[in-house]
This record gives sequence, structure tokens and C-alpha cells, in this order.
Amino acid sequence: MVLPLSQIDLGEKAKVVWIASEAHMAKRLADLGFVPDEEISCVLKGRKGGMRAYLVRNAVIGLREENIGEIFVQTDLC
Amino acid sequence: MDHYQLVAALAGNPNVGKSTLFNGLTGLRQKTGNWAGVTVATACGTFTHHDKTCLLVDLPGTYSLDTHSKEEEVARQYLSSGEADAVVVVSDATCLERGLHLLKQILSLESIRDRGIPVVLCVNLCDEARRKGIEIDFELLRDVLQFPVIPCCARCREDLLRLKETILECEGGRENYDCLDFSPKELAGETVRYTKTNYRRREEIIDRVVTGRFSGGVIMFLLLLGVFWLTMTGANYPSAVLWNMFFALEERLAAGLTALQVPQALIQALVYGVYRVLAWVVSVMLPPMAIFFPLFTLLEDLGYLPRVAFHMDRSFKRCCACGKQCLTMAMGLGCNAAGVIGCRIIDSPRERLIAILTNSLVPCNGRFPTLITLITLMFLTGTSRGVSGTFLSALLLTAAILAGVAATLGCSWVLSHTLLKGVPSAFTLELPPYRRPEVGKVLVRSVFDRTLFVLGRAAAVAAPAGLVIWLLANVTVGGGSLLFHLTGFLDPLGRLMGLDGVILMAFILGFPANEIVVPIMLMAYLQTGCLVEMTDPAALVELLTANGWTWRTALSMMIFCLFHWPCSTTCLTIRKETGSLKWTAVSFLLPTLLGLGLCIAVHLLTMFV
Repeated sequence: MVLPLSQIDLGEKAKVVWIASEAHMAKRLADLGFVPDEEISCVLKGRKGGMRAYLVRNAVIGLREENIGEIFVQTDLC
Repeated sequence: MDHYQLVAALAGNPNVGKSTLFNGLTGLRQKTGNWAGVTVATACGTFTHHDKTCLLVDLPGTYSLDTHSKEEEVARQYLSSGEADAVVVVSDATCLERGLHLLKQILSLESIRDRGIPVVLCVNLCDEARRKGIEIDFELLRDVLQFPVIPCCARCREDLLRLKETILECEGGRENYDCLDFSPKELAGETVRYTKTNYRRREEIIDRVVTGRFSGGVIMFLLLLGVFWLTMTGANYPSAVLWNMFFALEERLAAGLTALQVPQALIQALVYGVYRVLAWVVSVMLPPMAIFFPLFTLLEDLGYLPRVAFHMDRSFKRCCACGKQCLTMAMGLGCNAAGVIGCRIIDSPRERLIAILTNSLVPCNGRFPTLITLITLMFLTGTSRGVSGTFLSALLLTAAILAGVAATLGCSWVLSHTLLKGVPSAFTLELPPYRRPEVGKVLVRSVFDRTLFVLGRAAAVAAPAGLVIWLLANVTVGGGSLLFHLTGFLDPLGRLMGLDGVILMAFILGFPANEIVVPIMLMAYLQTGCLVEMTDPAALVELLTANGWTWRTALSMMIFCLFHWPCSTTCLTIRKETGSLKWTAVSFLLPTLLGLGLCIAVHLLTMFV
């Protein structure tokens, strides 16, 4: 099932399916490892409406809520 | 020293320890910190090994070589220019895959591939990886890549030596990369093995507390308070000792000059003008700086600042600004000019400009002594000696900083709804792993690089300013000194702001360096043109009260000290960074008008109290 990354809970893992961000941000995200088939997990959820952080390629990257909603992932990893 | 055999470029992802490596190799002291984007321009240095000299160029850290941000452009342009005879790609052992992605991009650059420029892969932070149970198969890595791969920890001397040798072996070499093809993901998957599955556990727990809903704010406040408390408590005693020493020296200096039959007027100008202001600046500024800078550098190296930015981002988002502005604001605490340069880490031009314009709303280290003096003098004269006294002063100073932060947020909001309209742009913020700071190095670095640098600048300004103020006070025109006329002219505006003409003039003369505001003010009060002794707070309070000071004057002065024009160095830096006189003027007027407005408002309000 494909859902926006924002619905992934703390500690949950997911696989990136596609990125719907505008070109500049999509490129930036791709550089960091947010590309299809990459496995990422949510490691930090700050305050409501604040940033959240994801573990991608073994680094912790903080993103804003709006951008998190533009990343679509799949949770059934098999 | 322009003679070198080889030019090598250091490229790599942000925050993989490139600058530490660069410093280790060249013995230079390029600034390092534990967040992405510390190196914003290239730095050069040389090292010599076995009679060969190599010029090393430290490129800004990038995730890729696309021309999306300033750093990437700098790195790409340099690598494409063909100036480098060898490229050292520095990668973080704990995230090797990301480094391999960049490596692949560098290898596919035309200027590297076609000319066969030798490339060395340096896998840095191996000690950290080992601690985390990450094992890397370097043999396999070498087999696939077919060029030198050096495991390294930047603090280890043998590793640095081996790296030096490898770099110098590249001299004149030509490689062929046509047969080299690898997938970064697969290569990393094959060479990296994780032996501990839960090595991130501890870090995650700390992160959750540090950025937690309530705990995040509380920790931030307590850390700020703790740093200031340590600074103030620790600085009291050495300040007094230094002042006594300088004061004792002063009499001897004057006596010595008299013995040499130097004209009395010149002695007066030099000793009671130049020397005293200099002595004040050194004895009041040196101790707090020597304590504050190392403490702050420790927090920086630990990796705490990106967490603060993470936590504070929500507030910055509401003001349509970039969360990284929090980092530049923190740099502004040390020095506003440095903070303005640091704004290069913000990609969006609009948000970068906001960060530059609001940077001086956070008091820099040069303004701390003024704030501290005001707090101790006016609010806590009786209790200033005790532990509770310093605690209360630290609390007040923290409140002042928080007021600065609030003003930064407020002005960012106003700017992004008026002059710099726009929506918040997307950005990513890397949270680097916590790293244990090297206390010894931090001490040396912060004392020599920051403290002495800032102090030197202040002293360079304080000496001529001391002369000017002495001249103003001692040259008489039409029955009064120049100082008298000048302060008289400024007095009405000063009174309206709850200050007086003297304080206002001190701020104006303090434009080259904020540190000298208080000594100038004190000299002006003592119309004799000499700086007063500061060891006895009671005497100072007496002097100030005689000049019509109340706690309201101190409050107004604190507000104006927080919010007034940036110092000349900062203005010049802003002019350079924005390339526009208009924005420099805005950055000058914004805090000034805010300070003026606040002071007048506070003055009018407290009139009825």
C-alpha cells in the first residue's frame, strides 16, 4: 500500500515509491537518498507541526511537514 | 612559499570531517563544527613531506555536484577548472554509500575522467564507525575501485602520514577510469557490515529528549543559562585581577614618561586616554570571552546546535523563514560578522537575506560585557558578589538573549510580510551524530582563533577611540569642551529614549566596536577626560546616580544595547554578502528603529510607574 511518508510512525520502516516535490527539492532529496526503492525509517518526531527526522543511507535528515507529505512510501517490505 | 609540486582538492559530503582532516594535514586552523556547511568558501593550505610540497584546497561539503546551491557550484567549478592535480574524496565511514554517490559523480566529471586526474578515496571517521560496530571491507573496496582507498581517523597521526604519502604519490600520475563502473548502493551493500543492530539506540533516546515537546525548550534554556552563569562567575575574579594589574602599571607608565620629560599633555592623552580604554577593554572582555567561547565551541562540536534548529524550526516556519537561520543566529552570538557570513548555508535568497538582516538582533560577544556591566551595576549592586547574585545576573542575561531571539523571529515575520514577501521554501537539515569534542583542541582553538582575534580587533579600535574621546573631552570651544557640545546636542533625543546624550554618543562612537561603549560613557561622565576605576562597583553606582541614572536608565540602555546598528565590521560584511547598499542600509535601520521605538515606548510607559 502506498501512503505519504507523513503517515509513517516513529520507528516504522518504509520504502520510497515516488517523490512529488518540486524539481529543486526533489533533486536535493534524491542527493540525500530519498529515491525509489530506498529504505527509510522515521527516527524523530518533534512538536506537532514541526520537523521530523528520517534515517536514510545511515544519516539522520530533518524535513518539514509539507515536504514529508510529498514523499510517497510503501510499508509492506517483502 | 608559492612553490609546490602538486595541487590536491579535498571534496566530500558535508560534515565528514574534511576541515579537521585539512587542519591535521596542513597544521592550519580552519574553523570546524559539527553541522553541515561550516566551510562556505574554499580554504587553502600547504603541507610538506619528504621535501615535496602540496597545496591542499578544502572545498565546501556537498551532497552532489549539481549547481543547486552555492557550495555545490563552488565545488563543481573548482573540480572542473582542472586546477587540481589530484582529488581526495573524503567519505564518512558511517555513511559510506553517500560518499560513494559523490565519488561516482566526481569520477564522471569530464575534467577528471578525460584528463585521468588521480583520485584517492579517504574513508574518514573510522574510529566512530568502529565504535558503532560498522565494519568496512577495504580490500574489496580497493579491488573494485582500483585506486588508493585510505581508512583514516583524522585525529590519528599515522593515518595522516599515510594520506600525505598517498597524495604525493599522485604527482604526475594519469589514471584511466573507462573500465570503472560501480553502483554506489551495491558496493556499499557488499563492503559494509553492521555488527551491532541497535547502535543508534542511545542517540535516538537523547534526540527524543533534546527535541521533545517540553524537554527540548527546557534543555535549551538551561544550557544557555548554564553557559552564562559559568561565564559570569568565572570572569569576575580574573577581571578584577587584570584591572588591578593594569592600574598599577598605569601609574608607573605615567611616572616613567614624566621622567623621560614627555610633555604633560601628551602623557595625559596617552595614559589616561589610550591606555585606560585599552586596559578596560582587555580586563573586562578577555575573561568572559575566554570562558564563553570554549563552552560554546564545545556545544558546537558536540552536535547540539542542529538539534536546536530542528526544535526551533516550527517557529521559524511561522515567520516564513528557514530553520537554518537558528544556526546563523547562534553563530551571531559569537560575532555578528561571522553570523552574516554563515548565512550562506541558507539556499533560498529570500530567506538568506532575512537571516542576514536580522542577525545583529542577537547580541554578539562584544556586547556581552556591556550587558553584564549594566546588569551587575544597576540591578544587583548589593548582591553581585554572592553565588545567587551571579545566578540572577545569568538569568537576566539569558532573558536578554531570549529577547533578541524573539526580536529576530518578529522581524523575520515582518520582513517576510513586507519587504521580502514569500512562502517558506523547502530545505533539509542533517542531524549529525553526536561527537565527543576534543576538549584540549577546543580550548586552544577557541582561545587563539576566536578570543584573541576578537580581542585584537577590539583593542585596535579602542586605542584610537580612547584618544578621540580624550581629545573631545579636553579641547574646549566657546567655554565648553567638544564633548559637552556634542552630548548637549544629543541630549533631547537621549532623554526621550530614557537615556541621555552621553550614552547615545557612546553608542555612536562605539560604532567601530561595541565593546568600548561603556568605557566611553564613563569617560564622558567624568568630564576630566579620564576613565574611572572599576574595581569598586559602589563608586561606579555613585557616579552614575550623580548623573541622573535610575534602574530605568539601565533598562533602556540594555534595550538599546541589544537593538541598535550593527558594528562597522558587520556592516561591511553585510555589504559584501548582499552586494547591495540598499540592504546594508535596511540592516542598519531595522535594529536601530526597533531599539529607538522600544526605548521610547518603555520610557513613556515607565513614566507612570
